[in-house]
Amino acid sequence: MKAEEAKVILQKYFEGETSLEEERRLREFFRQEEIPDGFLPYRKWFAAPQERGESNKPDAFALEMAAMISKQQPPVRKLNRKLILTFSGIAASLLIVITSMLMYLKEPVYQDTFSDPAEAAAYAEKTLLFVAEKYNRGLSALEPVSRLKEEEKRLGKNMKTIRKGFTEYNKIKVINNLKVTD
Amino acid sequence: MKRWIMFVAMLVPLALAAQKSPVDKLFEKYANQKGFTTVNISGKLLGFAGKLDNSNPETSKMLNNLTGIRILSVDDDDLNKQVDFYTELDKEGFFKNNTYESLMDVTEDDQVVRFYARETDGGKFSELLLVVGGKDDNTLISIRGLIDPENIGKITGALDIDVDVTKGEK
Repeated sequence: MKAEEAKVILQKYFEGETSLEEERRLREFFRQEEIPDGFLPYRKWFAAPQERGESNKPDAFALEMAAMISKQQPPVRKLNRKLILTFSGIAASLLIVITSMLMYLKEPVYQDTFSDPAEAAAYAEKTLLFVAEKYNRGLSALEPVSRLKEEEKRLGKNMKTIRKGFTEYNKIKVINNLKVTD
Repeated sequence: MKRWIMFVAMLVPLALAAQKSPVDKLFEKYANQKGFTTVNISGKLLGFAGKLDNSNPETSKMLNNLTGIRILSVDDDDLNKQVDFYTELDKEGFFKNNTYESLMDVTEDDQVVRFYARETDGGKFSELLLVVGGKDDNTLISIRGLIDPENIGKITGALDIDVDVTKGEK
């Protein structure tokens, strides 16, 4: 690269308008052993760090400071995006389930047929009487069954007495037999 | 796959919420239809009714514990031949997957009254459902609230009146 061209690109470099390719060419230009005197003050910008007398390795103090800073800083909690999505999904589902259950359990509201409580009372009573009358009629059919159960219970009590009597009789019989053998 | 499971899990409760009981469906289907009589008495009105009625303490006690009475009956003779609430409830799956317990069937000359109840704690009912069917009858009676089965018998025992609510007058 010629000095004139290098000058133009250098100008562009300081204006921050150079492309990567142009910067590479500049570095190549400054790496030459002999460059025009006017360019010499800029050589150190494009020389390798080693050439500038700098080291890539951080010094001990810098390392110590970095370690101290990292110790003092609270650990950054990394939130897993997938986990957030899963939990928000579960929360949304639970919300829907609870709302649906409340909606399902809620009794439907119907418009009253009567506006007069006395009229409603009369009709409600009439309904209850009808229900009760049929209910009792159904239960009365079961009356013989309950009577049968009562009789069975009473018979069971009598049978118990008879069984007890038989046991006593058997005991006496055994005693009598013992007397005969003596 | 996970997304699909989540989607289905979200749809299930919505479907559940949308599902109505066969009894409610029947009431909604025929409410305010020609030839049908619908009677709704809310718990609020029943509370007033309980205070108004002092003739029988058992009746007023029972009325105070109720949250609603609904009655649906067919008035039209021609419709009576076409509609059968018992069959319709069966079609809606009432007997397959319902929470009602069948109590008894009271069969008389030309009428069958079927009793169903939803039980709650302490042997009491939260709802008593009567499906009345017959040649000239088609009535559905739903009584909601806290119903003590022993009190039902006491009402008629005290008054000893034979009434028929299925012959609607409203």
